[in-house]
Amino acid sequence: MSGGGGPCSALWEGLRVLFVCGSRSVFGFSRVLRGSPISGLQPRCPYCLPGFSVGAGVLRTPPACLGCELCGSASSRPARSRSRRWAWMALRRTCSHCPCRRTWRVWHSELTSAKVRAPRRRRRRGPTAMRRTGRAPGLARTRTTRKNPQTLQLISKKKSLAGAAQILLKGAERLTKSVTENQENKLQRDFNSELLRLRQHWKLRKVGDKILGDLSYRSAGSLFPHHGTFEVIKNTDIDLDKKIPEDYCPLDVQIPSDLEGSAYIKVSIQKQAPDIGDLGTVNLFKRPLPKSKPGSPHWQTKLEAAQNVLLCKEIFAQLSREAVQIKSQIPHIVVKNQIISQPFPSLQLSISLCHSSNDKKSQKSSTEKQSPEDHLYVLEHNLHLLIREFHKQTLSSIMMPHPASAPFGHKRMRLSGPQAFDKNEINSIQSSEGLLEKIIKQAKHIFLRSRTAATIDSLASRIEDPQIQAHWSNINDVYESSVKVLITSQGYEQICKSIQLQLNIGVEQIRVVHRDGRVITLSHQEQELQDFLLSQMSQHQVHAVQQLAKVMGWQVLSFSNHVGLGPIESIGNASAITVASPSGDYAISVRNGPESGSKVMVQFPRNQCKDLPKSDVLQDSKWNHLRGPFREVQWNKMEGRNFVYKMELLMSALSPCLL
Amino acid sequence: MEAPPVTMMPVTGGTINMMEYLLQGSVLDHSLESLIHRLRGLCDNMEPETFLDHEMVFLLKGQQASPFVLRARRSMDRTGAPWHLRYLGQPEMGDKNRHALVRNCVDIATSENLTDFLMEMGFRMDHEFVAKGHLFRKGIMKIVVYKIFRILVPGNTDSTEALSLSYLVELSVVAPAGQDMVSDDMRNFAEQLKPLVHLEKIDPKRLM
Repeated sequence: MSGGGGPCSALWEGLRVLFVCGSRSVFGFSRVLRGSPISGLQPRCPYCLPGFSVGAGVLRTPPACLGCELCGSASSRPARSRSRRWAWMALRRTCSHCPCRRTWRVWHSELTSAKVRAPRRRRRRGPTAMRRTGRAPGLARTRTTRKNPQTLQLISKKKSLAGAAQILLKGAERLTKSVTENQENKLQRDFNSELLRLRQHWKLRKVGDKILGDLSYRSAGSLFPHHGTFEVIKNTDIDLDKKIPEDYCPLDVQIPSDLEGSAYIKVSIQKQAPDIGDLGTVNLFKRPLPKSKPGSPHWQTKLEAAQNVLLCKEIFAQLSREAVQIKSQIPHIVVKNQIISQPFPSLQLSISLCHSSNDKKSQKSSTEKQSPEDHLYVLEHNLHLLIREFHKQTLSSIMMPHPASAPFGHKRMRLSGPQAFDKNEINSIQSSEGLLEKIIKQAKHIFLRSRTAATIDSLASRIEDPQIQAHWSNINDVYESSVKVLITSQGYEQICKSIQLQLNIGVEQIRVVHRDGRVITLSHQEQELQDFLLSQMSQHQVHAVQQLAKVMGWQVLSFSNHVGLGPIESIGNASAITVASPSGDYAISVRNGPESGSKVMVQFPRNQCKDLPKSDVLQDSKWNHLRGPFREVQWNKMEGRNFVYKMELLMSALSPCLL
Repeated sequence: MEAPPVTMMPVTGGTINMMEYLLQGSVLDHSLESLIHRLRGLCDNMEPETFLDHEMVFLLKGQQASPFVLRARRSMDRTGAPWHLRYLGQPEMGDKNRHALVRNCVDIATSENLTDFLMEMGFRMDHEFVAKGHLFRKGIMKIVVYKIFRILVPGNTDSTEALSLSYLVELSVVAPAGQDMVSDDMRNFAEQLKPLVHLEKIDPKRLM
């Protein structure tokens, strides 16, 4: 009667279900089974094992005593072997703290009832019959065994076992249900804890049966009319049987469709004006969506992205409103998602709102037109800063009225009547620079700064002698930055320090502060700065000769920064210097113009000039020490790597060695 | 000598034609803390401010039956703030669609010699009181929670006596005429204050 077809198969099924449910309490049963595979094809119970007699059977091979049969602890009472009731006593060999003792008892009582009925039958049938009904292999079976009582016994056994199985099945069912419920409760708890986390970061309120949140910047002082409401959705409708995805979150948020995707403000400066047909067709560059920070939930990223879209929209709306309202010489153009302004002639500043929703169309268009990276990230960042400043201003400018019945408003404005303010004072209260004006000023400054840098760099690379050095300050104001320009000659940096310029680059103009305190204001035109630097470089050479003369012991006879003689320079003026050798025999005259370049002439003593006609007036030999006419030096054929070095060589050649 | 002619019609047109939308209620002293706490949560994110004002009500009696009333108010705890002169028109209850009491209102900031000026004009002081309380704001809505003190000696604001054991709560919006939409916002806000305080439109005529 072992095997799946036995009367205990239903019981077995119940046990199996319990076991699969993972309940710890069932685990004890496996020990009763003596290691038989519980989920195997042939479930076996101790009562179906060969050598066991269930019911009225006589036990031949009692199992070894191994302590508690349910939980395996050794504290249990040892079984009374050789007893007639061994099978039942064996079943009782459980310790008091066994978790499934109760179930076991129920099962046991069912089996006991089956057993109690069996001796009655046995008594009825007599000892012979009793011997015949035994199923132990040692017993002889006779053909004369009456089949009827055996069938009855079988039926009653089956019934008892079915009752026991019923109880087990019911218990298993309850366990299954509670496990499922647990999982559902866990999801619910997760939703609530997620909601709690959401509430720590975002404003939420309950409207009807919905939970609505606010992602707008209104509480921070924004006046943008977009409501910026999102809805919190419970995302618990997942199949518990299937594997739960890793990024599963029981809480989800639904943001308004116009805030989906990603957006940013693009600011760029173009040199030439585009075709009118190109206006308003700025496409989104492919920009990867910001990756969520590790550990931050899915909804946080989603809401932050939506809030960013909202802020970008607000910035753009504010800029477009100002662009239409502000009257400038060249009117600002607002087309679609682009604002175009002309800060300087032939230069245009374009501010555009790029918004990509997640649909395929926009992604396609973004890949089509890949423009070069001409973003002005600083300005884009500054726009965000400015709008936040604007928000703060709206918050802080709100003053509580005193006395309390007075209307809201600026206190100074309310004082304007009683204190009889004039128009200028009232204007000063009201005037406030808009976002667009500020950003245009910043753009102008940035452009002027980069152009100045480019001018200095190109001059430095084009002209090797003298050298030009620019020292930019690291920390700048948004509207002003400064650069120190040094013009030096290579190898003579210590003696030639005459030209040091401080360039203060503003919004519209560049102020140049000379070392001697002169201030020159240059306009935004590139040429002006270039001409100025060229003339300074030309002056530097003459200054360098002056410094060199001092070092070499030569005498400066004349010096002029702006020579009134000779050919007229197109840029600035030529400068000139004349120095005489320590002995006074020789003189060097240098004329240096920004355009004409340098011209060096040497004056020799008269006695060295052979071709000089004899003068009748200067008869005495002492007049021979006078310097004669000038002769030009072929400067480009002189040795030396730069002008000052050549001059040093020339001077040393002309001054006789005194030793 | 005849009283100077005073027009009984409120000034209309321009930005002067403003209306005050008003809801009123009161709380007992012991519930003040919880109301203030609630208001701090609901209102704009600002530090709550207190105020201490002295209000004088002036009447000008002409030939007409009803006198012309002006309210002059000054702040006692803030120096340098201008005086506030206010004209309030007849309150209109309106129908059920309008959720707030509406009255015409003219606000003006004045210098401190306002009382002398009004006296010169022929106004007579009717009554005066001291209002002390808290001030909140939410958008354009102003919420004042204050207690009214009776002045024992006329003109001396130092000796005062509380009028009642409760605080008056007023929710008001000053908006151009015809913007009844604001009353909806006010109603929504008043709903959120329930059950701490029930703000209703109270017809002053019924109380008289």
